[in-house]
Amino acid sequence: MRPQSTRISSWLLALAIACMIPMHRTQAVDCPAKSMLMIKDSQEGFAGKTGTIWTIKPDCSFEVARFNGENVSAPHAKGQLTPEQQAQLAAVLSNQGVATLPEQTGQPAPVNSRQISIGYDGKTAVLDLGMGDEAARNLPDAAHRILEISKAVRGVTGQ
Amino acid sequence: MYRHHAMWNSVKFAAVSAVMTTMVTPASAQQQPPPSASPLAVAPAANRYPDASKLQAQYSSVNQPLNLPPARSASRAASAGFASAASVQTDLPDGFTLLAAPTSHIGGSGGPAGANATVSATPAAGSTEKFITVFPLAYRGVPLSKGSDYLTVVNGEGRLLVTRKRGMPTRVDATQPTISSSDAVQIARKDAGSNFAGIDAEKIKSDLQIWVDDRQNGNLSWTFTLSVGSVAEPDVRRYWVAAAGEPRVLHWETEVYHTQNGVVSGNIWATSPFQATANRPFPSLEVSRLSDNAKQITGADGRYGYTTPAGSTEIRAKLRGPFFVINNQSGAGLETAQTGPADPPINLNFGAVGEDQLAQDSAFYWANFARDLAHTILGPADLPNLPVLTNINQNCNAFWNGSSLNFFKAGSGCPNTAYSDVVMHEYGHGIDAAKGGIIHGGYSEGFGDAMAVLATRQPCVGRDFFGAGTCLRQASDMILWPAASSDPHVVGRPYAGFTWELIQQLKQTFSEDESYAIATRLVLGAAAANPSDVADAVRLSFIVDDNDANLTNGTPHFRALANAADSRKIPRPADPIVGGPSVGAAAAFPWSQAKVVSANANILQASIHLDRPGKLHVSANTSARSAVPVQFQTGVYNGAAANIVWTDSFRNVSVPAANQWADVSTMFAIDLPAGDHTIYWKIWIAGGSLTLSSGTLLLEGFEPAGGPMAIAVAEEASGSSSTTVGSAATTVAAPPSIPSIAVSRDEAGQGITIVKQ
Repeated sequence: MRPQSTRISSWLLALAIACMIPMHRTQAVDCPAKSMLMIKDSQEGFAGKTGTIWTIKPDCSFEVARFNGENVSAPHAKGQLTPEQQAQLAAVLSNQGVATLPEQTGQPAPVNSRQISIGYDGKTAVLDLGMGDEAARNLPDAAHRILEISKAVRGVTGQ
Repeated sequence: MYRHHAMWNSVKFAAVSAVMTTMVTPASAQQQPPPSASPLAVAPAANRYPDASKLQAQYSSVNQPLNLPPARSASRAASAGFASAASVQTDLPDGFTLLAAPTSHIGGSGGPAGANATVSATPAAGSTEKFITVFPLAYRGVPLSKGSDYLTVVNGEGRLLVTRKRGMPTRVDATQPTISSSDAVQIARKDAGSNFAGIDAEKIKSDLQIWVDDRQNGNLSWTFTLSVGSVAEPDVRRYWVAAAGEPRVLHWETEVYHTQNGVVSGNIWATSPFQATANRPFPSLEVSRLSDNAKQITGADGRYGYTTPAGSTEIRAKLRGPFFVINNQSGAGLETAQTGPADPPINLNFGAVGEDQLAQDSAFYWANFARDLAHTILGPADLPNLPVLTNINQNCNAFWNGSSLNFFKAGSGCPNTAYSDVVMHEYGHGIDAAKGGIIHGGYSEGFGDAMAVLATRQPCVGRDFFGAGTCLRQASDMILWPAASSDPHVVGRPYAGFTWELIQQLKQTFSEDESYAIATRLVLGAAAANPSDVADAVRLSFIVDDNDANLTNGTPHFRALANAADSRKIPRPADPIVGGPSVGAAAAFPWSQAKVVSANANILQASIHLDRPGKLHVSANTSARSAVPVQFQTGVYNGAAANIVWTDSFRNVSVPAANQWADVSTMFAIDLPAGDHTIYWKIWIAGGSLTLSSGTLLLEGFEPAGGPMAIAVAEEASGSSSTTVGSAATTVAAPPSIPSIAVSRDEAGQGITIVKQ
């Protein structure tokens, strides 16, 4: 008969292993953001340029912060993507060809531009959305790709 | 006969009148409604409705018994009328007669009276029962116009209580016409305007009346009705045109009255969300009547009024109108509704509670305010039904997106952005877009800020934007053109500054209201021409102001515009060529007994008199040497304080080597008001000493640009100097000193440079 302390140790070891499995799975092994992925959605207006920055790091942790001009506030949201979210994001990045996005899409509006930029793997793709409904109806393909990636990032970060 | 008692004073009558009008009066008995029942009080101000308050009325307390036979109420009413007429006829002046009139039966126990009366077989004894008759009057057979009449009030016991003579002319000009009725109609038709041009004068039925004016003169007149014949846009007028003497319109008034009517209002952020709210009428808002789905748009005072009748029904409104439609992003949009009959008025109030609702009310109110401010340059097709998105789930901004106005919720330290300054700014972009398109971001931003300044009448654009007491952009800041920045808000700041300065300049001559009206016209006039940039917008304001197609001779507000442009260094048309009389003055000091300066000092002054506002040219020149190399500053100002100079006269000077002469001079031009002016020439020096050779200060005054001949009298300036000078030059080599200076403005609004002494 084994001592009770031995049984307890074995049980704790099994518990620890069991706990390590999901912990391992949620870390960087399958993270689609091989380098830092940054989405910046800005709106020029009465007070200048304001908006939100989403950052997903290579370990699939993420931060969401607002900015006002040059001032970026402390992140108001932080988290870690789940494996499902990682898979979802990987699919969008692949399908929309994030690596082949043009540097510039659209033209800035004369005032109050809305701009979405994607920074990934050392490159930046900028989408300038024109003014009004007409501009929104006539977006080029690259614009749709950028919007889809932006939408996916917002979705997986819950922001 | 009865004897007149003391005349009632107006207070007593008001009290009695109030009691009488609160009595239940059957509609069928109201043959002639009293003035208080008229819809005058709710009529749109643009219409002309009758106003009997200008007619003189004389009340008398009589209390004399009449002989009323027992009868049904209708017969008793008629008897009361006849009996009272017989009693008062003798009280009328010569030539006047009473005309027949129905008698109203009010109160008592007799029940309904008038044409449909079926009850009250016996006289009512109650003291509240009244028989009221308003007798029209005639003068030598010609009826007097309405309002000229004789009132009798008889009680149920048959006593004549009160009489009132109203609108009795003291004289009548004629009783026989010398002007034909068709000529009178032609005169009225011309007076009524083009909408009435199609009326056939021969088909208009005219009657002769005596029109009594507010001086109590009786004027023989033709009276008739003109109508444009439109049901949708009814315009029906009754005219009184002189029938004798000079052909002229004596009076007209509208005959279009309204049924359901009222005022729509709501509470808004009067300044910013950190400040108090206020309740304001909502103009240009659509109300809907449930019974027939008829729409009405509120006027400038928030009033609406239906011209077609309807019974009791619901009047409903959302925050929408011909110019703006609130599209709330945080939930359902505000609505308000009330149900009621045609009278009393049905007033609607958008009683906003909390940020989300106040944002909707404020956005709607201020957007319409902006639209109204710019109404002179916006046509009906410009920016119609503009969506206004409120409570967007972001913070600290607002924007125009080409087809809508967009405002964010409160958060991140910022208030909800749907308030006055922000709405005015964003609608400015809309105006710019509507007037040929936004072709310069900097101008568009500056124009938006100018709109906020013109509307709010203060210089801060973005009050409390980053918290209570903060200001995003001050138009009074001295941001000079061209503002080098990639941010169009910065590029546009000199234009907002120009606008603010223009108002300040105009206020030196005009009242506040006039100044804002002129500035609004000049700034919006430029906007209508779609400026290429800020400098072009300023140039266009001069063109808008010009009244003879010749800018070289100035414009009516040239000096204010020029000074405003100069304050921000924005290019502008040159001053008009000056001709005619001018005045001059000078002062000098000699080279012997050399003047020595070793501290900030006035070294010379000269005085000049301008009998009108004028342009003053100032020139000052001398030479200076020092025992050691030294740097110093010079400049001029019309005040004796040694540490202030006009900024544009400020010059840096250096003596590069010991005992070497250096030229010291400054030249400057400024517009000054009429009066005596003393100009002081100053030198700022610290840590060194200057020895001056002879020097001269010249003043030349010219007539004001674009204005009348101005200067006629000048006084010779003092030739002697009363300047304060420092001690003798020191031989100690002191390092050249750069003074601590600041740029500011003096009380006259002129740019000045100040050195810390």
